[in-house]
Amino acid sequence: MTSRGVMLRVGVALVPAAAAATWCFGASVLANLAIAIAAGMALEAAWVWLRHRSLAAATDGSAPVTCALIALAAPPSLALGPLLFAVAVAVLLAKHLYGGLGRNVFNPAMVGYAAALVAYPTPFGDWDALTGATALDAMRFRDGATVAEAWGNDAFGAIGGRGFEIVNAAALLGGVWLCAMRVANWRFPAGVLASLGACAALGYDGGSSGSLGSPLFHWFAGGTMLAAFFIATDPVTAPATPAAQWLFGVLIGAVIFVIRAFGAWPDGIAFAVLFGNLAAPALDRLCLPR
Amino acid sequence: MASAVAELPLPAVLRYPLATPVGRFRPSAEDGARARLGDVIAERFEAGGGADAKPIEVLRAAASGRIERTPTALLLHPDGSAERAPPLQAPSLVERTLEAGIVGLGGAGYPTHLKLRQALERNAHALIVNAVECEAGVNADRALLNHHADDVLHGIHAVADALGAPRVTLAVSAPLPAAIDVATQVVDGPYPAGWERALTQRLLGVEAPPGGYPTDVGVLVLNVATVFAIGRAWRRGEPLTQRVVTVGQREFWVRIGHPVAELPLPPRVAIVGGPVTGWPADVDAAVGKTTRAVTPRPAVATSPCIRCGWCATACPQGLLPQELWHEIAAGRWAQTERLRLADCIECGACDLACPSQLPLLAALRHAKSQRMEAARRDRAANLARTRFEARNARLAARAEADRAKRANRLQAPRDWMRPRSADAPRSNQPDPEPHAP
Repeated sequence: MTSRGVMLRVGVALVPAAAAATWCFGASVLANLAIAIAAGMALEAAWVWLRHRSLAAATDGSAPVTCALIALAAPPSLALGPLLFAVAVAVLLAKHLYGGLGRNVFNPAMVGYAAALVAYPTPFGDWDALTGATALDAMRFRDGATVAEAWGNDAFGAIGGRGFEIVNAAALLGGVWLCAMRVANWRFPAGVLASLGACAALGYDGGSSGSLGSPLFHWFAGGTMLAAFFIATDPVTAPATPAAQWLFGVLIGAVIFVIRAFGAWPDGIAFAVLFGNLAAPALDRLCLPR
Repeated sequence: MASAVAELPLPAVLRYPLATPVGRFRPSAEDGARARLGDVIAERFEAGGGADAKPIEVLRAAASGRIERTPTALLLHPDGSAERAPPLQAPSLVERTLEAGIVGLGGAGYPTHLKLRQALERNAHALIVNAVECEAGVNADRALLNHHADDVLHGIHAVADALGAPRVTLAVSAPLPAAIDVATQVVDGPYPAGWERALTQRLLGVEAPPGGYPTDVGVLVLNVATVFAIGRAWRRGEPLTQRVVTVGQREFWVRIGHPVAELPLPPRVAIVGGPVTGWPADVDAAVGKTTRAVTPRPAVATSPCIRCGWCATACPQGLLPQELWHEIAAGRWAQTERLRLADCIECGACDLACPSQLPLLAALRHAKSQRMEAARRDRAANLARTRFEARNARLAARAEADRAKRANRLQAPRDWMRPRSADAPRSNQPDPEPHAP
């Protein structure tokens, strides 16, 4: 299998999640995907051409994956400006200014997403046009209601967020296939999901007004499965030693939970993954046998 | 069964480089002398062996012809005569193996008589005949079993008789088409399943000590080509002068010394060895005793490392080739030591696993040779420093002694200062003995 084959398989594994998102949130998801991927590839090709490099550096398949992840993580109603901004930051700044494929320290998709989230806070929080408040927001700002009372809000579905639970289930499906193909390392999603579940279980007391949502809710709300199977698994920005890979997943899961419980962002995945990237070299150093 | 293994025609010249990875050969044939097929033309001695040392490996002419000596190699110009040296005589198997010039033909090149002797000394209880092909695309071992099973069996019996009654296992990578009269085990594990340490562990459940060999735990592992050569030497008195080599896609009998440039291969840079573990051939490279294969070098397009870690999963030594790759590229040698570069067994499993087709093995080998050279320089520098410091200390001690002597002399009263007696001769010479204060 070649590196391009790896990227191709990641793309295939994203198809169920993309299809589910389109079905739940409308055709604008497809439009965002197409725009982001086209813009990302065009920017990369232009960059490589300007630097007089071989076009092979723009056809390794990593940019479409990055841009697809941005499009799937962003709200479908997102305007063109913030989307292109996120794509440009991801491809040019986070990937190529660091030296291109394999040399970036931070996950490009999450750098792009986080930069756009900071630059355009309102449109990025704006899932409302489609779903009303997201389930994560409804869970966080529920004015002392118990979880059961709050569940009357139509932001919720059967177990997670309405729509989000289906997208998460589809991402889980593609992600498990990716792990079974040995393209993604299973330790990352296992660490993320175990730690997010454990943190949620600690903060969940059966659904009182002070509790923070069950493990099941957290697994199937927001971008959990996308983060666990497709973002935390980017080997370039993750540790190499098995023990450090576990720690990396656990760290990301915990930070996702902390941001969701105590932060003000719509979800915690971008900053959690970037935090994990930051810690990855230290984790490797910690876990390498002396 | 496919047709028998073809023999390559005699080349215009056979070439025997004197400097080999295992040590240097000393020519025993004079320039211009005539050698018969099977005559000893060069010998290798243990490093540091004196003038009367016995050789640990001999090299025998693969054809009769005229010897030409160059500073780096022996050349043999075949004259087409079929004249042979007399058959081998040594009465014991160990001596016969040395006499035949047999070394580990699987690739290690370690003199087989030394290995046999160690196995005898340790009363080895098991013999593993290793026919697990070292890597995909190399079928030299298989060809021997398919076409020369009788001589392989002779070799197995010769070694087994010498050892007493060891448990004999023939390890193959795929079931044999015809039955052979030896307990056969199919070892179809992932590459490098044919590594002798992995094989011993898998077949017998015993592990060689770290840094040791299977012989240390009473297991003798011999490559099937080595066993075949022992069979020929023991039964027919034939020395080792040719071997089965995978040339491109086919197996041939090739004379040792056959120039790589004259093998039937497309005119591209060839790799001596298999497609994974081989080395790019020099222009004047020749087939040696340990050359299992000569492969045309494939054209590959590499892409950057994405740290997928598949090389680490594939590595039988549990190393992190992807991290080593980056550290080597950056020249951070201290880090390569921490990542246990020296533990690399150069199997090339990482190369096979890499989705970016990176030449990981070549990088690791390069780094290992760099580290060994640096270590050698360090040792030399340390030795020089120790000598220098010892010399300084010696000189300082001598100067100190001189100074002390001089100081004593100054303090000592000079004889001209002493009250002179009338008959004492006047002298300018200082008093030779310092006076006690």
